[in-house]
Amino acid sequence: MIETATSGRPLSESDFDLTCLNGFGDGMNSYAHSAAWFNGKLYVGTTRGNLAGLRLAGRRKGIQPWPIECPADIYDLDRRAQIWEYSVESDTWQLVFRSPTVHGSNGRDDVPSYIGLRGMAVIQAAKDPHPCLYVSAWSPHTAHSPDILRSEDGRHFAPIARPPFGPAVRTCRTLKQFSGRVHLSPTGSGTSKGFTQDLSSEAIIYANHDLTTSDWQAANPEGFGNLDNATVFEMATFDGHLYGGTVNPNSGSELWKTRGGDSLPYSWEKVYDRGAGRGQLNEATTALCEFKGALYAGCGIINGGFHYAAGIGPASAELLRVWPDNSWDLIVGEPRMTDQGPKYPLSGIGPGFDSIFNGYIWRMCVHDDWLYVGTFSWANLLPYLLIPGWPPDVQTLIEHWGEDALVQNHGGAEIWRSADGVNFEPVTRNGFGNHYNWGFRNLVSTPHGLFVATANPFAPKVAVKRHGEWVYEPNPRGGCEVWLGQAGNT
Amino acid sequence: MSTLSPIWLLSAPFSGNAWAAGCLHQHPQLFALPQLDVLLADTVGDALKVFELSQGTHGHGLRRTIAWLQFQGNDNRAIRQADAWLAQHAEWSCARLVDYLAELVAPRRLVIPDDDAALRPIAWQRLRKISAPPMLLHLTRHPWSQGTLLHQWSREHVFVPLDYRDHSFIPPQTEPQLPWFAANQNLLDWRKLLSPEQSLLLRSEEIEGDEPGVWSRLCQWLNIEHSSAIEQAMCNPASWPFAQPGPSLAPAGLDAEAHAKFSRETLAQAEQTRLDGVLPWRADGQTFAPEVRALAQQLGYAQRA
Repeated sequence: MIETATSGRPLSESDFDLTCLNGFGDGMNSYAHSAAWFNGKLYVGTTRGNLAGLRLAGRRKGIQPWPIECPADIYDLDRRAQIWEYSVESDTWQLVFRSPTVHGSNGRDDVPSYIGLRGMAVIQAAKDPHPCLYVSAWSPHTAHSPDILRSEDGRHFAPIARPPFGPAVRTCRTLKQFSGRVHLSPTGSGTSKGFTQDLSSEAIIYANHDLTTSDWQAANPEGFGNLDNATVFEMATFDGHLYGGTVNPNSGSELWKTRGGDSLPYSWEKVYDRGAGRGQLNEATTALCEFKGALYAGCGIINGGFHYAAGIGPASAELLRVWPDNSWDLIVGEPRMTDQGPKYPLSGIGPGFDSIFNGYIWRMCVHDDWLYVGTFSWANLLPYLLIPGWPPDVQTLIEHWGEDALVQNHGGAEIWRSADGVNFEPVTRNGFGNHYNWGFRNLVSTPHGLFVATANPFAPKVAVKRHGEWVYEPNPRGGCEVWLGQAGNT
Repeated sequence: MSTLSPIWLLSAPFSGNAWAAGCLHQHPQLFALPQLDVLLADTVGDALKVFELSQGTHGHGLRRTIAWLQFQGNDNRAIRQADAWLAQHAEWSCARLVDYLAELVAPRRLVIPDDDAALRPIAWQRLRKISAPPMLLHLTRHPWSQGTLLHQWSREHVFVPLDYRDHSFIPPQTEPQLPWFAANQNLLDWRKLLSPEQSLLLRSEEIEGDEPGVWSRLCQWLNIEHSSAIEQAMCNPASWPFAQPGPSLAPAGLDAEAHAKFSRETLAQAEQTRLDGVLPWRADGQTFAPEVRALAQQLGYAQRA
């Protein structure tokens, strides 16, 4: 058992204060989709109108009424993604970037270049005079391929040369510097027939040494040689290796690693496959984080724990711990026999931190020597879901607890903390008291504390039941929120 | 160390936990309770909530305990009184509750059996808060016997805990190796944090087979009286107040094995212990995982020739 004596003071729910709510005053800022600490300030990139986008793309099955009020035409929404800057000293937020619009393939002149900003990293690439802020974007299919934005000062953002994406690629996520190159992977695709934000049309990591050039090259063979690997969803560096975790709807996620090297593509080594023995229920490796000599891997099913189109789920997420020798431990999850012998959850906690609603582990972060794990929870969708089609055990649970009580008490996402990576305790189990916070999308450790940024798409107007009838009402707690946790802040 | 600090009898499921508790109760200086399930929560109120939501029979043992010790009854009337008493003491910590029970049975010493706690590190943390320093009796059973009984039980029950299943299958299949391995590995890890005097390993086969020396070893560990008369009494747990099913409001309270009825064939198969044979509960011809075999040998189960 790992000793915990060296850890700093852990943060509790009462240590957290809101720095902004209601999507920076605009509930259309649904997701605080990216965040980074840069030049002494926090930067947050948003994705706008997520639930409206889903509705207007026709993905409505099994949900009634739609949780938010949507216009008939998507162009009635301002979907231009934004970047906000926070100064701790003055406790103020400032809008520093708004997506431009372009002439779209549909003939309109008001197509946003970027409807989301999904990844953010501080990187000093070759020819960068100092560390710069890089932001990966999400572009609609009627615009251009997605960009990587670069800023030297946090105020001026400009796209760099794109990788040779296929035409269906719509978004990227993680940016990782490793072995003298910057790496990124497409994680979403779309055409006029529809889009999916978690499945790409190509499972390739692109690498580039000099971001002033377009010399992007594939760092891995497509899908690491397995075409069932639909996407390289998440990356991390650990123990002198670059790790890439896939989405694999057929047999479960795979995790690969490479030592890098001068020539591309790299040589890769498989760490686990078949969802670490859980199969499709670990469809994706959704989050990776180094902590005390091991790499922690969050797993789950895309689309929030229920990949409806592929018939996977609903099921909740697992947390694994990978060691440099490729052995792994099950930390949170379901016991099973594996190629590495019997595995049982060392924490004693079942999948989803014992909650069916935690569809995936979305982000992890080390702060003051503690590991913090944030989830995505679909519990707040319960009032809008057509439950009879769900598995009997889920129905039984919902009936037993009561829908209203579930939403009120467990409707939001969860954060758990651990000093040793085995024993976990909750920081919040209900979205910091706001059940509309259905995901903790970013955790950023800074000298001022731990910032937690949420995904909260239940705005501007949310469906509520009044006297037995559904009505749409303004939601003052809808839209993304950013919390700051500081030790002793009670 | 207080003479009243409880002895925690922890094991993997289907390891003879209730039988061992009943035997220990026959010692005049010990008082064994049913399975309290108090390590599931920090307070009595939280424990009651867990019991209410449980799909199993959690809480029956605690209710029967209060009925017996507080209201001197073993019928539904006493169970109702116990329910009211527990509700009135919802704000109590579980540690305070255990202290109270220890006072009720004093000068005898509490023995608290639990075949679930070893699967959950949080239970270990709670146990250490309740009992400082804790006394831990690690009960084991050969994984062949344990697996045979657990698997047979699972075939006759709708609710089978997730911990008993192998989730590499869809739908998950009962795999007794998993809870056996998890519980015994956890217990070994936890015992490493204790001084040698604070824990003892006991094999249920020693108890059930009345092996010479088992009770003297236990009594020596606990520094309690030992005689041939006591030893003889400890071989017969039938007169334990909780040995029989409780009243209709709380019929359970012991481990699932104690309430199960096994056929002669199952019991005979359970006795054919080996570490190298094809597992009777597997259709795919699998034998024990190497890790399970190694742990069994570490716990004193030799490979049968």
